[in-house]
Amino acid sequence: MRKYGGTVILGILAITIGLIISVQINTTQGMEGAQGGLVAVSQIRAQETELSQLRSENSQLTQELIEKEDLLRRLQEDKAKEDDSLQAILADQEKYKLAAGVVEVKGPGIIITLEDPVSDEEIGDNYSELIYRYDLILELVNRLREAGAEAISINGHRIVGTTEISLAGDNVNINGTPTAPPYTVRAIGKPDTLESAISIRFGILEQMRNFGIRTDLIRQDELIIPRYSGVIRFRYAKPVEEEAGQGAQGSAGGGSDIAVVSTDGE
Amino acid sequence: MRAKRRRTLTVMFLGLISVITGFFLAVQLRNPDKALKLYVSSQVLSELDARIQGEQQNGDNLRQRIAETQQRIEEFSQLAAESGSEELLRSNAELMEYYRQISGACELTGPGVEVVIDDATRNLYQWEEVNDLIVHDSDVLLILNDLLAAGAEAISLNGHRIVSTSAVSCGGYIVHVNGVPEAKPFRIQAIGDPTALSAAMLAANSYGAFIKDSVRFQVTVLDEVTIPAYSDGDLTRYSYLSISKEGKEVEG
Repeated sequence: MRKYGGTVILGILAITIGLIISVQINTTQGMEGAQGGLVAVSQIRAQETELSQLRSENSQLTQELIEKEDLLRRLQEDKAKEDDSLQAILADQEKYKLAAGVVEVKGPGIIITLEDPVSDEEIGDNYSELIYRYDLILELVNRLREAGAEAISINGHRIVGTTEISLAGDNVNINGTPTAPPYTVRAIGKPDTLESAISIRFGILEQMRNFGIRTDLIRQDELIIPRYSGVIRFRYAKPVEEEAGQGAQGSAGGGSDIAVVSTDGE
Repeated sequence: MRAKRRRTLTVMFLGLISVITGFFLAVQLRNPDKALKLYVSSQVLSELDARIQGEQQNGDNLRQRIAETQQRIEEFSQLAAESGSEELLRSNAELMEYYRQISGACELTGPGVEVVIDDATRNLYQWEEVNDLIVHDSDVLLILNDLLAAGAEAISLNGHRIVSTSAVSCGGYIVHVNGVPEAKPFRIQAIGDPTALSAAMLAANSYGAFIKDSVRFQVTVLDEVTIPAYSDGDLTRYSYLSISKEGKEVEG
């Protein structure tokens, strides 16, 4: 009996190790989907194809929208030539649209690219510096505004008055839409001022680099910033009218975005 | 002789175990669908997912805007064709009013919250610095962002309307809001769903909950908040309308 004792212990050890190995393999293999691990290349390929398809579709849609908006603008201009009061209204409309960020704009400015640090771990590195330090992006946007940026977009999302940059689960939402790094921040303004304000020593770009984030900055004489493509619809806010109360209703919530019927200006 | 036989037996036994282990390992590692597989971190997968979702949402938005613009084109040309331009003026004035409201050029009122942030009045703990007990521009910035994320429709900070170009910047003992110096206490007012806004301010893991240990932080739900209009009429100097086709018109 004694002489088999060692073998028995060895056997038990072997079984235990075997169990551990198989459990481990099963877990890593089983974590498909959102969890990471062993994933079929075809699945990733399919998602990448879907993404590039969606992207080209969206750039077509953007083009279509721009053409339609141009057509509307031309119609308006033609009509406005014969009608002065219409011209005045349309000029006001353009002014407010520009301020609200619902038109595409272009001008001189800078483009900043932010990329996550190069990871040194191969597997299990499921954390993005840029996403968890989204406050750095917020700070960058604030610095750009401070330096006089007039229009800013992040990954094609126009920053408007109601834009939030918030952590939602595993990604950062901008204008309620999920985004992922790398981030491309475009800003229109005086390029020199914008560049200096953020690349100053110990400034925001240096702070980002201290976290390992790779930053890149280029200046451009002309860059395009897309319009805000969502809908701004007030459900709680109502305009303050001069107590006459004529027509100041909340939004109907239906098909039209026009919230208020009121013809007088101020 | 006996010892040699026992050694052979052990070797055979070990050999058998190795074969069985190998067999089981092969079964475990077997790739049922014979597809090439890669180790991918969950970060990569969730980012891919976010990008796809984002593009889908983007596409939906664009399609809506296209339909909306198409509708406006039809409406405009229909009204423009009619002789009396009264209706045309009215509908464009309505549209102008809508854009005026969303541009921040209009005083707004509605239910919401008031958030007051002020420097702490208590003494410093031993491990603290003076900086820990005073309000910084970044605190204000994060609170504003949290309010927007909770669906705030209009926000003012010490009476200055926060618009797309508003910066909150540190200027030493004061903070510049829309270029105007403002000092503590910082009074933030926001219109929106009062429950959502106050919850976003006070939730356990919110920034508000984080800073209320070091500075004074007060949230009040109000039935009516009035947010002033953005006063600077000239919002743009460098950007102009981008018109793809003919007629490059300079605006602003």
